[in-house]
Amino acid sequence: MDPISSEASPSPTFTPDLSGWEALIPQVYDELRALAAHFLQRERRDHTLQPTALAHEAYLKLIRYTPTAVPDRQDFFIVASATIRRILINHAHHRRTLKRGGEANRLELTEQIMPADTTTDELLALNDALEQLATEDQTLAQLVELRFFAGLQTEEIANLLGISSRTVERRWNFARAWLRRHLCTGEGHAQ
Amino acid sequence: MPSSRFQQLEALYQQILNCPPEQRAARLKELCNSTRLLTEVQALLDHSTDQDILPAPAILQPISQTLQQMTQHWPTGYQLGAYTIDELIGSGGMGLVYRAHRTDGSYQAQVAIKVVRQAHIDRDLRDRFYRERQTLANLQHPNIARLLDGGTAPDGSPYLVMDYIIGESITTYCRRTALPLTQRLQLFIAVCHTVQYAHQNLVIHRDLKPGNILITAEGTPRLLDFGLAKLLDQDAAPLDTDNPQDRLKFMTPEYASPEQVRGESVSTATDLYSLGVILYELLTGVRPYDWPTRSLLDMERIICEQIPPTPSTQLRRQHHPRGRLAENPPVEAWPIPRLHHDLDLIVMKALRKEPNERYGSALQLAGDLQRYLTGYPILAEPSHRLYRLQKFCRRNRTIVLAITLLFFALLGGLITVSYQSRQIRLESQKATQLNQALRNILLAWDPLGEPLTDQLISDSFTTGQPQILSILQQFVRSVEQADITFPEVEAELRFLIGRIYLNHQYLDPADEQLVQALALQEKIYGREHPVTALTLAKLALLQNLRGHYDRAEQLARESLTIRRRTLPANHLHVAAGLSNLASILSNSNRHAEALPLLEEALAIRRKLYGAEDVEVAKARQNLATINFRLGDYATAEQQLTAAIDIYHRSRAIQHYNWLGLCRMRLAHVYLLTWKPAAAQEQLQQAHDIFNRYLEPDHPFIAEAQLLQAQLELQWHRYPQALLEAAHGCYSFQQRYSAAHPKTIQALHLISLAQQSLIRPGPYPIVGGLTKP
Repeated sequence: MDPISSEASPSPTFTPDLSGWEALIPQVYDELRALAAHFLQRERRDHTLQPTALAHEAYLKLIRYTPTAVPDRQDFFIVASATIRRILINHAHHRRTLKRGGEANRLELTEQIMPADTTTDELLALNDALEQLATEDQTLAQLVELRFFAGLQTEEIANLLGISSRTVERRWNFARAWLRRHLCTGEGHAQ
Repeated sequence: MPSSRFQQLEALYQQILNCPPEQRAARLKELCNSTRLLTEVQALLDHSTDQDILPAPAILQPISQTLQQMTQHWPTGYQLGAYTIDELIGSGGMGLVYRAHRTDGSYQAQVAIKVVRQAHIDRDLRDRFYRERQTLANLQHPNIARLLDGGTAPDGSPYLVMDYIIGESITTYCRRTALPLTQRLQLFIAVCHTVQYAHQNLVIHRDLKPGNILITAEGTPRLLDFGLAKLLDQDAAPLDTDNPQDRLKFMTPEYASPEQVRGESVSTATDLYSLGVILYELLTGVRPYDWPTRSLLDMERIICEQIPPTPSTQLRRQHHPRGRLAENPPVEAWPIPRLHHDLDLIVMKALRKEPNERYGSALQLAGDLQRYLTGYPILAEPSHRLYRLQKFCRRNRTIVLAITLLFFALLGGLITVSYQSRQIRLESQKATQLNQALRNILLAWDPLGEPLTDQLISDSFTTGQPQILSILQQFVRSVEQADITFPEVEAELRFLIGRIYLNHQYLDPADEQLVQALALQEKIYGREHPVTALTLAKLALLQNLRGHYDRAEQLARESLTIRRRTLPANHLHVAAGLSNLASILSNSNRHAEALPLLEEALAIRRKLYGAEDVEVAKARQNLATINFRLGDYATAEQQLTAAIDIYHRSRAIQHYNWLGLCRMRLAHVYLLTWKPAAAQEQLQQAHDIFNRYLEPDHPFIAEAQLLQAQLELQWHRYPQALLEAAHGCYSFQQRYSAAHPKTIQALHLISLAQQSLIRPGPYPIVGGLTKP
């Protein structure tokens, strides 16, 4: 079906307040986790709910938890990206625990959730770096989250955050450099 | 000027990056006033890249796509055919739901528009879609939201236009208004009638759930989305019925029936199942199943295999202080304190896994609920019980009527008094009196208790019919139907009924009543209470009779411990507890341990009542049993004779069965000491007592029959021995079990008698003793 886009509502005064959204994450966590599992297990015998239904369920929950009847797409993606990030990180932690515990045979289970193309350690390191970045500039960390974890493209992010596409590109470039530097050096807080 | 150091860093980075690569080094030096800043920016520039930070996990792309697709929706004012979109009001498995109105104003009311997300629909399917839609549009019922219109959006998605209902789901409504049980059931009955109407018009809902049953501001139910699931299901081409993912696409698993989950054919029984789940939720506040995961395999297994706890069990669990909600108490008190057994039966019948075992129609379900509300017997009742009761009532019209009327009159009085006592502070004295009266009536049926009058006894017990069981079943029913508001009263009644069952040695129903009494008493009084201890003692006795001595001992010990802690040291109940435990120990051949307990019990009874009381006689009788088992027949005989003497002098009718037991024991002593004539005399007297007060298959009588069989063997009257042993064997098998030690003993006697019949001669061994 063709997308019937709602007009993007740029809100220049937008200041992300992740603390409020943190509370919403548990509400959509299960659906998005199942959604992730769905795509990862596509090759296997599929025993999860249909992806659209899952996404709807997540969306519906947000309707219930947001004061306005219709969730802002912006709100939704901020929660969704933060939730997906948490799902991946939780699984990465879990996988590392299993490895340490020598339970190699149980690893297979988590492989389903954790993509094989990104290693556990890399993902955890990125998560740490992202947390540091958030202490410096929360909006930038948000941008990374939307881009990396929700997979949104430049225009989408620009619409959601109410900034120009050019700014998104420029800031994304800087964020990458900053994160890469912190990933490579593995050093702590930049002084 | 950038405010923070970080922003300064980014500003510099962006500026330098804008310069052509060859000018960057110079520009950097020019802009940075400190070496540290310069190094930092340089480091960042060194890490600048066109590539991603990490390869984005492949999983993220499809998720992102799904999320983005799903969040696309029509804005307010969007024109969809003849309708103008007002707002998005919801989203479900099949697509989004909008509130809208007719653009041309020809239809004033607001409508709900459901958009179906289906990319490909071929012409055949579309035709069928429209045909089905017509059927649904013909469904005209005040409690059903109408299907008004439909069409295809510019992008090809079909949409449906329906009545826009303002209301809340039936579960939310009941919870918010704390609707009392009766009104809840009436509301649900109205829903059943609506479903029945649709079924008569050959429309199955297929997705009944609270969200589809809205209650309007006037309190009327309106059912949404009738037949929609089928419409969409047919539409979902190509539908792969082997793929559970497709099967569940439009289903709400919490309310889905086993046949739906398995992808089998769907019938009206499917809706009845969903109604069962909703009724369950209305009665208990929770759904019948817990989902450990959202995995389809788990759901399928649970829906198809797991039998949920009955609503009343669920309710007890929810509200039990130690239940799983203990840490998480419900925000508002659940308005239904407990549920009648009939409602359990009704819900469980609706929730049967096999469609043909559920109610035949929504009307039948409604009918049973109505019958429950008006106090008629329900159809979901297990048929044999109903049959037996009816049969019994037909046979014994007068007695049942008299007792039931009396019972209800008293119970009614009790409830009225309880009600009034709240209102006009008429205190519980009257309630206690009525309770006492009720007690007496019930106790009249206790073979070891105190009968009201001799008249009652001669009327009932001497007829020799096993009617007590039916009468007790009637009592249980009465108690359950009475909607007793005071748990104390229910506990007491159940205890009494359990005790009478027990003394008649109907062990299974006794167990059931006593366990329920115990649960109530624990809640009311706590475990550490003499009342609770009494029930524990009865349960110990029950296990003792079953031959489960370990369990019996455990219960008896607990009961005794509680009594010792909560009662004076010289209380009759402490003595009874001691005797109780002693009897169990003796039954498991631990006579030496039992003896001191009985001595203590005797001492307490003596202190309380003097040497000549029947309670002392009972203690002596118990001691005699131990001495008998230890082989000390002389002492046993002496103690038994003394006890019989006391019973005779007291002339108390309630002790007659004790007297019978005493005489039977004495007969056994005489039998083993080779005094057959004396044994026969005692046994005959015991027989006379038992036959008068007990049913013909009571274990006491069976016991006497086994003794008689042994006597007959001593007299070489083998056919008679065989007959007596067979009688006893039959009773033990009926009342206890085929494997009970008593049954085995009887079988042993039968085989001895048979052998002797074949090979007549002096019978060498009786009860383990050689002939002197």
